[in-house]
Amino acid sequence: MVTMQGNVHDNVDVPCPGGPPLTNNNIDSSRVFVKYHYLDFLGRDPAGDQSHPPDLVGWNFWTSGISECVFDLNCIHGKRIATGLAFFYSGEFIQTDPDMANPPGSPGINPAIYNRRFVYWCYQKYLHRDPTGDPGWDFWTNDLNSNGDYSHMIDAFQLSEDYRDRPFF
Amino acid sequence: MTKRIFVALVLSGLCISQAQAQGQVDFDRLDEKLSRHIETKMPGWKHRRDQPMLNSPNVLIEVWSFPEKGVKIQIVPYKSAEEAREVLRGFLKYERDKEELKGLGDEAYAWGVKRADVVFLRGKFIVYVEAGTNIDADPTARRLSALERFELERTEVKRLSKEFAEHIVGAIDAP
Repeated sequence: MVTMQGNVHDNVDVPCPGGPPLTNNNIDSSRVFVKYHYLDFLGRDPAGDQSHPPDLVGWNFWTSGISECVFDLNCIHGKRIATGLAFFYSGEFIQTDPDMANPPGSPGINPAIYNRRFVYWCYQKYLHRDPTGDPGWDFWTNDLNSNGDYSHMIDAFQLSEDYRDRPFF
Repeated sequence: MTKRIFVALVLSGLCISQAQAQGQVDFDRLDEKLSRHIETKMPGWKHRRDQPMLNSPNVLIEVWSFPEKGVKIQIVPYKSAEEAREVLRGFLKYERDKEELKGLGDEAYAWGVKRADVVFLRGKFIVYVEAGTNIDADPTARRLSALERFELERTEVKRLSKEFAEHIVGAIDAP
């Protein structure tokens, strides 16, 4: 740490004045957060992989969308949810499952089918497990059916310990 | 008559709580078996039991960590091996990048972009294993191209996932 007077003390991390609390979870990094949305939802590494060229423009776009919030925690929170929704509604993801073809706002949406499937993919993509037989699938589907709030659903999964404890690097 | 109904309700209540308690004991026991088994096979790794998503009581989650490496294990029991197999089919239905892994559990696949996450069946259990590593911790990796880094990371996380998966099979099978 370097004090205002320029004295160097032990190399201890301290939060910036007015900044967010310190974290050692890599998913709190906007760049890592976006990278894992690419990996989980689009099936490609934005840094490039054997089947896909790098997508640094897209990676930077979504990352800066969050990081422009700087220290505004409410802004970061909202942008992370919006980013999650954007990946859910992306053509690239939608085409992987016909039940996801008509997202909210499209004329063909059938909430009875779409909502249950939306929750299914929250488990699959965020938690990396199948929810079949899990009472949580019914619970969250009923929640979504009652309020139609897709942001709330994304938020619940993104903030869960279950998601945050994945080995993000 | 009212007394008999009351007694019946109390008895059925006791049975339900006993069944729930049994489920809890099973997870605790499985958790202990896993911890003991993996601790001996992977010295230096630390672990903790994780809290599942709200209203998901039927999954055991363990997180194992080592400096610059981590592994998340999820174990979900089903009523039967057939039901577990059916759920696995559904899970992999939309997965483009999957590869069958021979000789691991009853049926196993590597999946995901890096084909490094492992999912397998063992009896009535489906087990999900996901590993991660910070390849930049290795100074030589920083000098590699993006594709070379991807390949290096893929190889390392796949090796880790498979190694843990093999230990989990051993732990599940242990008495």
